[in-house]
Amino acid sequence: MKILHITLKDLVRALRSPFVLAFMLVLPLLQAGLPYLAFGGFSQGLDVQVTRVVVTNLDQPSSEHEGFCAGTLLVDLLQSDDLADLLSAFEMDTAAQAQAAVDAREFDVAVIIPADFTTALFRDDETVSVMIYHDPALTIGPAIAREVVTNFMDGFAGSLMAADVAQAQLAAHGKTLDEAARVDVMRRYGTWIYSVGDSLERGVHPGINYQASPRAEESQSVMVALIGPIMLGMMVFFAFFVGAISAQSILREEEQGTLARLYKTPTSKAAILIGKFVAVAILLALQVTLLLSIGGLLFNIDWGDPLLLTISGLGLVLAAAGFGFMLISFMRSMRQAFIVMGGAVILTSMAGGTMTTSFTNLPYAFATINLFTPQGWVLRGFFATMHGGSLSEVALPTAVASMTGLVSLSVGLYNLNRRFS
Amino acid sequence: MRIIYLATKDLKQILQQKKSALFLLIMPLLFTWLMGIIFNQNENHDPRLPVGLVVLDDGVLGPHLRTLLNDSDTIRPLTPDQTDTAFIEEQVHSRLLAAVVVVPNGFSAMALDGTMPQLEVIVDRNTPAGQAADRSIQLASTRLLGAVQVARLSAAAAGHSESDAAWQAFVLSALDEAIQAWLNPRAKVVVRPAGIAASAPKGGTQASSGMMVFFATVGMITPGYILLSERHSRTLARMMTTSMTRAEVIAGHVLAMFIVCLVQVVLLTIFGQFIIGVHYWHAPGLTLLMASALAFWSASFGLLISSLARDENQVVLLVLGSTLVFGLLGGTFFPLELTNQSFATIGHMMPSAWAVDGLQDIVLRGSGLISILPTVGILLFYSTAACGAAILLLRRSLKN
Repeated sequence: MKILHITLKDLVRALRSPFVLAFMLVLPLLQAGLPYLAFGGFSQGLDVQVTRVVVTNLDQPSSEHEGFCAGTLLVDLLQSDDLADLLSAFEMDTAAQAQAAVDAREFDVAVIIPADFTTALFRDDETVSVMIYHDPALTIGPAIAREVVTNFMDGFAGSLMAADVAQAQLAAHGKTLDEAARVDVMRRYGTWIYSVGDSLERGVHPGINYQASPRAEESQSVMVALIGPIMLGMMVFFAFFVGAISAQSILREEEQGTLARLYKTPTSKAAILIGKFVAVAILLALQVTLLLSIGGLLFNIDWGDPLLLTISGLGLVLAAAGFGFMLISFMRSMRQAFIVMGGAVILTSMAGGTMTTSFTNLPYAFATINLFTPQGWVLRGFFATMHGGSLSEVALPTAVASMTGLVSLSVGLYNLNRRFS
Repeated sequence: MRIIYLATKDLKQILQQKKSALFLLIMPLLFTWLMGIIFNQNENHDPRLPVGLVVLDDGVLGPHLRTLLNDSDTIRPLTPDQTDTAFIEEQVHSRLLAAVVVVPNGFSAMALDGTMPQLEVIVDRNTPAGQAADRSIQLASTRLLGAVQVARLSAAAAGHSESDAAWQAFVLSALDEAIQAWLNPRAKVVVRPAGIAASAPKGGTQASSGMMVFFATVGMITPGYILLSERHSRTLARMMTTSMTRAEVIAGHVLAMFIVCLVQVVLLTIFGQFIIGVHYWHAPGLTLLMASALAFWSASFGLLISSLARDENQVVLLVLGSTLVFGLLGGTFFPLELTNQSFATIGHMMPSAWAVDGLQDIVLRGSGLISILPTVGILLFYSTAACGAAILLLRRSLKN
């Protein structure tokens, strides 16, 4: 009963503190919510900004090829309505003007088509390059422009290559490829690549069969796939913060002298400390439940099987509460506590991967460092749950996380008992 | 002179608190290093997205596909430890692989016979990494199947029919040549970044400049404590009874915050220069100008926070809360170019966005003084506004 009273008193105090509430709910939601708005908000796909492209077409129509001008085709493609959501292309007369416009940040990308573009495409002894000049601070816009131009160039390059390879192979066998046969090879390759392009325009690559994985089908949108891991990382990060902040009640009571008075009552030290630990654990359980619910309702995040999610959540509560208790047991004052606690939580969270949950292709060392932090094990449990893992796949990391919590709690209780004895 | 005495006193107090090094130096350095790695600046680390390649076909096209995938700037092919479907699906779900490409049995034979075979691709196209990997896989597949077309057309041009004994040898030879040609096509795209970016690591620049701007304001926690404690202990009020003017008192505190932040930013630029390879010091005058503008903004922000907060917890909360908003909206964690148009517009209302832009103007775009001045002016505007608000709040607090 006394434990319950202590727990209730600490809980009420924590829930009245705007500081605790900010770390419990406001900051984690802010961290997940702002990227949610940044990358598309409530739309069902990734929104990207329209890239401002300036094109300089120096290419001249080729009299040898009935006035054909490949450069004009490329300009038309860049200005086509099909690409209007991605690129807004504007023509300029000279390469210098186009480059200056990019330098002045009036445009993001300049596409410069060389003067001999068409001629070089049809000569077997020449190479030709279209230059993409871009604002160096940008990556997405130039990549989109590069992809569009590369696909266009691949069509030509493929036709040329078909003719070149046929010619070289025939020459190796002592035969020659006359101009008519060369044009025929190019035409037939062009027909083939056109059919591929036609199929791609309908969203289907004829040479690829997508094996939709069950999980990919479940992902309702790009946003859900992106925000879920961010929200998870922030929840774990701030849970460890709240665990440490709320365990500060021990230091506060010590500084205010109420802890000494409490020890003079018949209530045992163990009951007092356990009461405080239970308050921290309940607060964390409340935080985790609210964040998971808000994440599900507001951002449509699918957290996985409810039972496994509960197990993972309990692992987080135990790990964060125990870690907070242990940290506080080493601190001498509230002022010292906040700075050291902030540093320790941030560093272990960083090493544990809470800030890098949305990244693919991290160096292998990160996965190893994760294993030395409670946050790393907690995240493993949650990810296994989100990815539809089995009970054993979720239970192992959660058990390790819980064990770290219990060991930390024991260290904390030992320190505090010694200190107040 | 009295301003300098006051600033020196504040600086001594800050330096005496050894823990302030945590927010001022240790955390910014660690975060910059971490973000640098995330943005793939570790030279020993292949930054391309890993894509599993499972070849169940014993024909010639599996190795050719590997060559073409490996030629991509975006993806790198790896052979998964196991080839069963459940395992490779799990690798994609767990984001250990951005995608998996399976070359099914009989793929080469079908392609060489003239039918369009299909690669099997497992990818979550709802993720940005999945989308990027998918585009590169499509390009490599088109080139592979295109090379087969080229080989078949060459054989036909040479007058071979598929029933000829020599046909297959001819096609395989032409196929090899076509694949080699794709690695160095005659018509290609050359990408050239403007400015001086060729010598600057782009990811490292974003990480370094972003973290510098972020921690410039986070570092105001300790200086904020000092002014707050002066308010609480009434030292500030007593100082007002001396011959020091109100402007001198405020200037003294702001100067201390400015010096702390300037030293922090300069140290971070040195770290960025020598550890991450971002060339801040190719234009020392411009870098110092931007560092000063950023330091002035941070000092004004610190003054505003310490005049708003009622206790130490509030200092921490206000600094962290507003810095997170500035940071997330202003592109210190991720470039604003990755966001949608509305977010980018709102983001550019934050001083942090201008500070990051200014630093990137120097290290990526190689901009000169004229290009930097508007950014500096905007930061000064924000600083003046924050200082003005802080002075009004302090005046009210001193009256009480």
